[in-house]
Amino acid sequence: VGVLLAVAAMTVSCSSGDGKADGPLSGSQPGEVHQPVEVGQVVTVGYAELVNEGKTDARVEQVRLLPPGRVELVGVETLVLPRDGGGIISLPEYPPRDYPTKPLLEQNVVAAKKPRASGEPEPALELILGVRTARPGVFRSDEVEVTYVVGKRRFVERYPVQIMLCAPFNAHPAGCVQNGG
Amino acid sequence: MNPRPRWILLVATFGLLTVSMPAAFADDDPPVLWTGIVRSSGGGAPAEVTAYLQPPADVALEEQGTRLDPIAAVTADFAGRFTLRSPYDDRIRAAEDRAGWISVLVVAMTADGMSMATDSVRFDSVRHGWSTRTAETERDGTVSAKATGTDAGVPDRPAVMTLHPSPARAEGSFHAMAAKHRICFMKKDTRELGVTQVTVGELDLAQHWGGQFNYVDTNTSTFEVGFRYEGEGGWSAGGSSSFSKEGGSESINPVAADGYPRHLFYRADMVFSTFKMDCGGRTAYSLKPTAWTGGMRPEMASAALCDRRYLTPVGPNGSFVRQDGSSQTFSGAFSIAGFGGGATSTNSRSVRHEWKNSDPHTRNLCGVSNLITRDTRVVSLP
Repeated sequence: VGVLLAVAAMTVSCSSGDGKADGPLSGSQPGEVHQPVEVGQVVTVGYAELVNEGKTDARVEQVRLLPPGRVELVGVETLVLPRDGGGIISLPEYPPRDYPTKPLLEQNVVAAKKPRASGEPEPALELILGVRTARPGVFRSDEVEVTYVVGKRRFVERYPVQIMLCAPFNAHPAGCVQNGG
Repeated sequence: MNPRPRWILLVATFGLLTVSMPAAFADDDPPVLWTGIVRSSGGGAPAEVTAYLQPPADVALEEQGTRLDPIAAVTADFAGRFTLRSPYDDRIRAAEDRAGWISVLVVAMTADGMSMATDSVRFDSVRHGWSTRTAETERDGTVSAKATGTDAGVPDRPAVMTLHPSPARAEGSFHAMAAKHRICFMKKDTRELGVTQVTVGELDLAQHWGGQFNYVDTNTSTFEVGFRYEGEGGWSAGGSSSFSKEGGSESINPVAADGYPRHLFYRADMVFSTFKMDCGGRTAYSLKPTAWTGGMRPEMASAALCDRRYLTPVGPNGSFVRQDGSSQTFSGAFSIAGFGGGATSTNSRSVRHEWKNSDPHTRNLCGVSNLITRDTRVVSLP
């Protein structure tokens, strides 16, 4: 009976595509990041700014890039927003210098929604991703999958996030585009 | 220890859950279309409030005026508060445009005054509610309506509808009767307003920043609507309008990165129309864009200022495409017939802003009034 109750208590909800399942976290979908890199260079991409629409704090457990095997995710830190200096789109190093990021294990709570004064921005947790490619070429991930817990419920949600890495850097003088230009 | 009390507690708890669930979820009322407050000079006004379905802009209206179809009606309480509810039915489906938008006109009437407001909404079948956002720009999972002062961007609808006094107070009893019957006619004004440019996009490019702006459909843009009441002189803002109209080319020429800074507004050629409404024996006019010709022209403009709280770095040779949910609002997006209105363009599959840092060093984009993932104009820094 205890096992059954535990299973019933820790339910898991999943969504795909738009990141709008029944979980309280919403992920802003700011667009696309295209970044030329050297092979093996770990760069920072800041993405999927998470906002909690619920009344209970949410704790992020795990982050994956989808589809797997394209852009390699080597680390996840977080940045609490809003803060002076805004967020991060991309940086040539990871973890980012001069930004108060912390590893996901240390800073992973998306604060619950609270009444705010007019014009006061809502708090958000920005995912700061350390990414690389181990091979030359153009590599693109399309979604970020976030696993998080609210109370006794676990949610797995996907946010459409396009990260494109082009390597090596000098092979893409016109920038990083799908056809390798 | 006797286990019975635990079972009693468990059964009692389960019973409470069973009883409380229907109260929480079995709501048979139609979904909320609009909530608001009606005020007169003396405070809250218990007005008759009616929501009408406005015909799509391209539907021909009868010469003498087409009688509008009321889809919801209520009497405001003595504080002026009201809630309009409407089901999603065949009448509404018939009035939807390609993106699912319908245009709603809300009229508040008393014996002494009238107020009008408008908004474009669509039915969200997933959440079974009315929404002011398209599915592709819905960010927060809530069925929402922006009102003045509660969010950034062009307000979708006024939070407070202020009654405009009737110019013919002696006919108050007639107006009271007419208001009760909620009769409203609309006629498209035949005055030629012509094509006016509306700012829908912007690229601020410092030296060695390149960029591109694409705009292929109006369906994620919101345009402020003006109202003018008979007996009064000028236009005043009274809500917003959204409509779907494809027309632009897939790609507007990219701006190459070079040594020259550029600040470009992208201005869409919009056809504006005025509509004459006779409601409860009173007359008012609305003014709004009803079509896009497909034309788009870049114009040099003055740059906005960066708020350094919103600096956001972009790596060497890196690009950023602002898309899907973030937006930019242009407070003076257009000016026509004495009405200056704003516009908000929400980035989406139809609206796309791209910046490219063509420099071997990390440089910054910057929000003018917010984080660049939210509603703000964006500038690039040298």
